[in-house]
Amino acid sequence: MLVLEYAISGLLFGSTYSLVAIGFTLIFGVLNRFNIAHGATLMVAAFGGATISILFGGKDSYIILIAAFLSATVIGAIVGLIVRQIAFAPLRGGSELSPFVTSAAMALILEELFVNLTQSVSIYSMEVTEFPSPLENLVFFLGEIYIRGAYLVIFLMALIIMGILHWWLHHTKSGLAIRCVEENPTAAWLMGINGNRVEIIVFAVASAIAGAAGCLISVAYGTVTPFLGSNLLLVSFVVLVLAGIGSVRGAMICGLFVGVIETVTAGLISAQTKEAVLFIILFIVLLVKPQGIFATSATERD
Amino acid sequence: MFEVTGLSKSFGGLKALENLDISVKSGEVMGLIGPNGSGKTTTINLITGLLKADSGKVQLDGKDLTNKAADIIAKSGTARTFQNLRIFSRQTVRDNIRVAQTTLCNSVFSKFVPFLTDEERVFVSETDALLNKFELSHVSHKRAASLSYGEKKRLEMARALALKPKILLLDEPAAGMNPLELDWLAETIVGLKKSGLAIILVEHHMKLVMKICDRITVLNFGNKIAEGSPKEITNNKDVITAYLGKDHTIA
Amino acid sequence: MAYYTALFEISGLNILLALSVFATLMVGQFSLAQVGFWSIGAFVTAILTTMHGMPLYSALIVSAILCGFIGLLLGYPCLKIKGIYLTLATVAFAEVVRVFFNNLNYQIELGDRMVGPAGALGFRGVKVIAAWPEIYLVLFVIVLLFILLASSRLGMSINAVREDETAAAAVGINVTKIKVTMFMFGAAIAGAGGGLYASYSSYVLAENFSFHMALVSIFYVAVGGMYTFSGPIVGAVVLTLLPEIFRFAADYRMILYGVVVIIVVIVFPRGIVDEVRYRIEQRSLKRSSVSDKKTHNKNKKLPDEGIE
Repeated sequence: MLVLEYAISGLLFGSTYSLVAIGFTLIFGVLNRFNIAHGATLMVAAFGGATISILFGGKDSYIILIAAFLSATVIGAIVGLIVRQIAFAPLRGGSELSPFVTSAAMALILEELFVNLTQSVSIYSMEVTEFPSPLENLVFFLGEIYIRGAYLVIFLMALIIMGILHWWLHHTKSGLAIRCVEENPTAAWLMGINGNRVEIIVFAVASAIAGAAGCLISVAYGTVTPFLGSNLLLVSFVVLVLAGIGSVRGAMICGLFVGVIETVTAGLISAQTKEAVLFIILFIVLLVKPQGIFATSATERD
Repeated sequence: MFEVTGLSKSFGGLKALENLDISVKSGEVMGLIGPNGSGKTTTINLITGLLKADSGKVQLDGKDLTNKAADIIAKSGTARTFQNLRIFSRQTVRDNIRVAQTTLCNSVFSKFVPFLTDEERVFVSETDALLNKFELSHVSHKRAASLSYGEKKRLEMARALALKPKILLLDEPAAGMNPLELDWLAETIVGLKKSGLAIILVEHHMKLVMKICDRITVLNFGNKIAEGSPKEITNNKDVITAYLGKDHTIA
Repeated sequence: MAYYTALFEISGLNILLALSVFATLMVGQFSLAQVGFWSIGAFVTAILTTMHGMPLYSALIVSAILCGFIGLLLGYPCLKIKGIYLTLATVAFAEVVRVFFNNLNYQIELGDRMVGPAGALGFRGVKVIAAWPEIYLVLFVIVLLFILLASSRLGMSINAVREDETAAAAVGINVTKIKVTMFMFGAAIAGAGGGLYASYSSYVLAENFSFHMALVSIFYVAVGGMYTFSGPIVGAVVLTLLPEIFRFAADYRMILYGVVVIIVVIVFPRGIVDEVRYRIEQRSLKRSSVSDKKTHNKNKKLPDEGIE
């Protein structure tokens, strides 16, 4: 059944949308600010992973793939911390608009940087930079349904990451500190929690997750472009409007949902329509429950 | 005539206020006292529309104000000051008062081109009068943020009065005041009451409460435990217990 | 010479975009929806002038009113909820508009060819009937409205809403009505601006009215000034000229642009205009409080040094 095939594909791929959305919402939870450079961070990390794969012959080696993945995660964290240092740290306690603008400007800078890099550096290409991996041709069959190996691996990786995140947030001391700062920064500070350090940790982790997601997505597509980040950021906005900001579980589920809708619509009707269907759903949710399906009063912050 | 009947509010499992009845006549100062957490500020917030009541009624001169929007309640003649001072810091002192007057505008033109209307002239003299009364004339052009604490408190009261209210709710106006300022506050409140305003005064400063209130309502854990004249309240056993614990007497 | 004229004209358009964003910012809301209204204005005006022979100003008025109305529909449910959701919702709105116009196919035969929006290919051959006189006339009217707003009681209410919604409601201001009104005003400005843009550049492509453009529209206000309407004007002009000044850097000019934006926002958190005003005010406050202490105590009955 073609629909089922599309749906499964979409579900598997949608897990990456969940990851991006979760990273974004984590930063928002702790800082109460949007990190518009989140997508760009992902893009830089994806390029990092692709570079490793290209330079070390990743086409046939799972080991190189894993190395690329780990590098992407680390690069993501590093870029995230740089973004924080430049765009957020100098503006603590100010208006919401300023860090929005500075992070957007950082995203612009990173995008332009990589547009230039793809033009000048030989291993990259202006149109399409390949991310070689042994997963490119891996295919499974579930009965008659055709599943791309790459998607399955991505889905599993995403689940693992989300699982680790959940465990960390709910079963460790540092995770507890983060949840406290999210809920009431002043009280957390009064309890001796170093808000600044929590911020740094969250930024690093969220950006690392973004880097991981970037790597996974690029492996699935097989290519990387400098505009990967901004496209994904927009999709994650859709996920977040549906889910309601502040709900990690909501981001998870809605990411999968968006993936399914996208793939099924693109497959059954056309690629043009998939955006339209998605946004119609979005509009309805906005009219009926503008704060998102999974938003609770606990996610409100003054 | 301001009447609250059966007012109740719970937050989740916590009963912040249970079945409160208060009535205040014009020209009367009703004190609202009680230990911290007894529901005083919750009451004010319910009356002024910042919170939605679970049950009960709020009526001003027969008009039902229960659970109406905050601005409609304000327009109907209910003005308040805030415990945490909510003046408009970025605006000038004069404009803080003028903003409140805007709701009294009768002509649309006043809102857009005030300098062209007659109404504005009246407003200007009223603003000047308020500034004078609250000793703010010398800072009328300054930004509210640059005022001293005492001046800010006076500004908030002036702004509340600019609404020409029928009832004024004061939420701990005496906090942070020195004895001279307290005398001024007492004088001012008595003056306002004499001009026909109904006043509810939430306060911790007992001397002030006993001195100027006509009647006092005492809350504890969201319930009204006593109501009466200052003298009656001072001698009320339940009140003393609530504040000080058992086996105490007030000198 | 034509180069400078074009710069002048584009600056004018960008100022309109910046002012439309500022209108919602005046009530404390920053909205990324203006790009969507700009897009609607562009297409509607283009369709009316090119395909139905309407004169420019009539088309602009229709676009502005239509956008104002859509702003009402969008704003009313969304403005009742918290600010961040509104921001996300506005992004979603702009995207919906983009997708809509990307799929819009409405063409009529005009003379010997088909004219009109052709889906993803956009609308080519829009009647060029706007240049700097038209752009700046509309801009003049809108600036006049802002001046009026600033000196009116409505302006005071708007400032009050922006500063403290609770206190504003407590003095009888209908906060929701004011927020929705300004949202509609911003939408209408964007509608008119988009219409002028279409009639100036002759090519309307929905893809151009993207998230990226929405971000730039916010840059104008954040860089120029967030509290007075002169801010967005300054910001739009500066940021229109900046890429031109950086032409020498060729491929790296947008990177320089980004760097400048970051530096300006960090050095002038309130935006250039409002940060400068603030600093001047702070300095004069310091000076006057010294002299105040001398004259003050003579005239006062009450001690005014309270607990801060």
